[in-house]
Amino acid sequence: MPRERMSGGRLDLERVAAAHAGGHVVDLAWQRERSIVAAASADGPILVTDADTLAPRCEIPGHGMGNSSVSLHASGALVATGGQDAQVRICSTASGVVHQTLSTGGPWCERVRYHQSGKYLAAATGRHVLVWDADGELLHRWGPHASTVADIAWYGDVLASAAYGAITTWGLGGETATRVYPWKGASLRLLWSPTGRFIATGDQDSTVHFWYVDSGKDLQMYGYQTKVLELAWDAGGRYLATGGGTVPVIWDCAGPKGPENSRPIELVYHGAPVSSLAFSHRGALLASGDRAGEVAVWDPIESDRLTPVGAAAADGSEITALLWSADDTALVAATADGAVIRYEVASRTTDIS
Amino acid sequence: MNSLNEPDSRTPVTILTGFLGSGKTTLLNRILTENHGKRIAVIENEFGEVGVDHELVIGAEEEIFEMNNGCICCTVRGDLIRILGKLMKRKDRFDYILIETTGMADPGPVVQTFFMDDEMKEHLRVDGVVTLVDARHIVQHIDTQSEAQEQIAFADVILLNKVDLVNDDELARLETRIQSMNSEARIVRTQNAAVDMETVLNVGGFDLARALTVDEKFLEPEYPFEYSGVCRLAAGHYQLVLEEGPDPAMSVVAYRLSETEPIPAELERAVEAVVLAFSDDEEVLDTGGTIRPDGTRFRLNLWESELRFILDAPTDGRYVLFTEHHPDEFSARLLDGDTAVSLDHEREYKPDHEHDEAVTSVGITIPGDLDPERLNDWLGNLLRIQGPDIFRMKGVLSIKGAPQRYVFQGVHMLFDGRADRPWGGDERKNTLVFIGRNLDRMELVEGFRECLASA
Repeated sequence: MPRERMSGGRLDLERVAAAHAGGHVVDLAWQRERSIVAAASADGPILVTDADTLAPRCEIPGHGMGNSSVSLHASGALVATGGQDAQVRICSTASGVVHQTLSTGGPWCERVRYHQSGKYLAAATGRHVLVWDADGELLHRWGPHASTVADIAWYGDVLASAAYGAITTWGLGGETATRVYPWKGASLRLLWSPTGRFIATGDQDSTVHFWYVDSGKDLQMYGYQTKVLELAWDAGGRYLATGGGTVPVIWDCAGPKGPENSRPIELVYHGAPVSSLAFSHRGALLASGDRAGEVAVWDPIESDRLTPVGAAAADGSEITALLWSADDTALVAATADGAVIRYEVASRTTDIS
Repeated sequence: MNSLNEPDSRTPVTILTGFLGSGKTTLLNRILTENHGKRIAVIENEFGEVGVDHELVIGAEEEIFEMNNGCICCTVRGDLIRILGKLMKRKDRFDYILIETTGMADPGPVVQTFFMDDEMKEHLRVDGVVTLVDARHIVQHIDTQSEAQEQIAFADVILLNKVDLVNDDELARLETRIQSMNSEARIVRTQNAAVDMETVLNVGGFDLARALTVDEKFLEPEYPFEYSGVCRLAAGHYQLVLEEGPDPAMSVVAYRLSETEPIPAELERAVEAVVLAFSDDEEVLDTGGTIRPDGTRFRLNLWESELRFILDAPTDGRYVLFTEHHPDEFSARLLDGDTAVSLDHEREYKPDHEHDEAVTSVGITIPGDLDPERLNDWLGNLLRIQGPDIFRMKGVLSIKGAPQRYVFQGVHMLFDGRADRPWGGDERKNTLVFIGRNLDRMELVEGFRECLASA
């Protein structure tokens, strides 16, 4: 497996394919079983491509006033998009034909996220979160939250929402919140740990917050240069990589005390603020992208190496999203210029050091 | 922040504040319909009737993000970060962004958003805060509503709108009042918010390169008196006649000037002595009493119906009378028999502020060089303690050993400064202005003076 091959070695990032999304990519989705990548650009169309070749499958006209989010259905057949026009559209990934247009009734749609099963679709709109079933029937209108919902994420049948003032969890079938984690601060990004033990948030006040989901206990991590919009959990749910500056920081959440009072791993390389982070599916290779367009791959935990094991040169445009392929042999990066780039990640055949 | 030699390519943002009904929407419509060839995006927090084809108008609900650390300077506007963040990702670029706040909005978080949030700071710069004031109705709010005071305090430009609804005297008084609150703002009288675009756009209110322009009047200390009048008198007795006014008493100090220097220079020296005299014990005079020109502070009781005091001129010469209140308030006049004495020179002084809670401007000008360490300590300490009360500050400083002027500006505890052009042959001096609430002029001046490098 690639993990074994890569361990301790040096990696080449070879640019093998590229497509153009038509504008600043604000959200990127990868349906790995069906090998489909979808990119939403700020004011262009929604691009749906083959994940291997990045050859366009279809281009879906964008939302009025711009797009904000994209999510691929478990089947790979459907793509959901949300936009500033407060609409959610469900389209075919083969033809681009719009199957359904769902009105959120809110001021705009910030985020769309399919449930892992594909049976439900959630959308954040203003102070509410809406959930539809596969037929487009509205099941829930959760909220109002104390403030605009900034991010949502599913964990099983539970959805967590981040808004100024609190993180809230909601359960399918229930009309009221299952739990509120109050916090006088603005959480901008939210990510469940893969084991469901933590909810991590990146915050406006240049901090990272951990919530122990069961006990409600929380931890706040200081010292970031800027607000934190970049979060990535490793597949085991032990390590959280965070951006919020030029140095990616990794928190080790193992043990009963989690990251409390621990010293994080700091990865010094980027010359520009980090704008995207992604852990591989196996092992713990971390990909980081920055605002100058540089992509680096790290093996900070198993190899104990605090310099990148691979890098792709900057092309000047901010890396707005990074995703690993299912087998961790490829990375797809999206940029502020609208490029979608596929890198093959392979161990170096000749050692030049 | 942009460096000295690089033009600032960030998109300018103008923040439009003012109470409901002050004319914000009218001004916005003017800006949008004027044929200026600029692409302007508007963010509206109050939904009006604005809407112009080629412009982008975005409605927004004010979302204030306070931080858990409780620091008011970290408070930002979440709605603006979200909306502008999206706008900046679009391919279509705007020459200008206008943010119209609600009537009751605190401009602080709006301004801070562009200094605190890195994404905003990278792409956008605040060009200025433009505050519309309803000339007729502001008097109802100016003393009581902190929002009205803050909107005035934060402003780079104040449009005194609806001037057709008030008379000249009221207008002049209002202008004086506004200037005492914010000496740095440019005040423009308007009717129907009709104003040149250049007055409200491209203001450069937060631009360090634009040197501080301090109105000399506001660099003066505050005085315990409001007026001085100079006249030539032959030896004899003169009558100071007053009518009933707003105060039951008034302190006055009279002096004989030496006539060896021009009046302004002599006055300048007299002022120092009179300031001291005004803190001395006073001699109370009822009507008919005599004012001696010896620097004594006389307190004139003004509750009787006929108010007539004697001014004693022991010799021929030039005399000056300082009065606590403006003589016009009492229709005061100096008579020689039945004839009014003609005055050679009159001057008004900026009065002490009566309310501690009031928003005021404190301007300080001190020649000499500053010790950077002392300055840092003083300013750091000041902002830590008084930051929430300091809305704006600006300064041009002379740092010991530095050939260049140091320019700075700040909002609450946020501070932005850098070296500017060399002093060259100009006199090295320090000029700074604080606009805020509960400002103690003496304390600020003394604290700042302590920062001077020892010779």
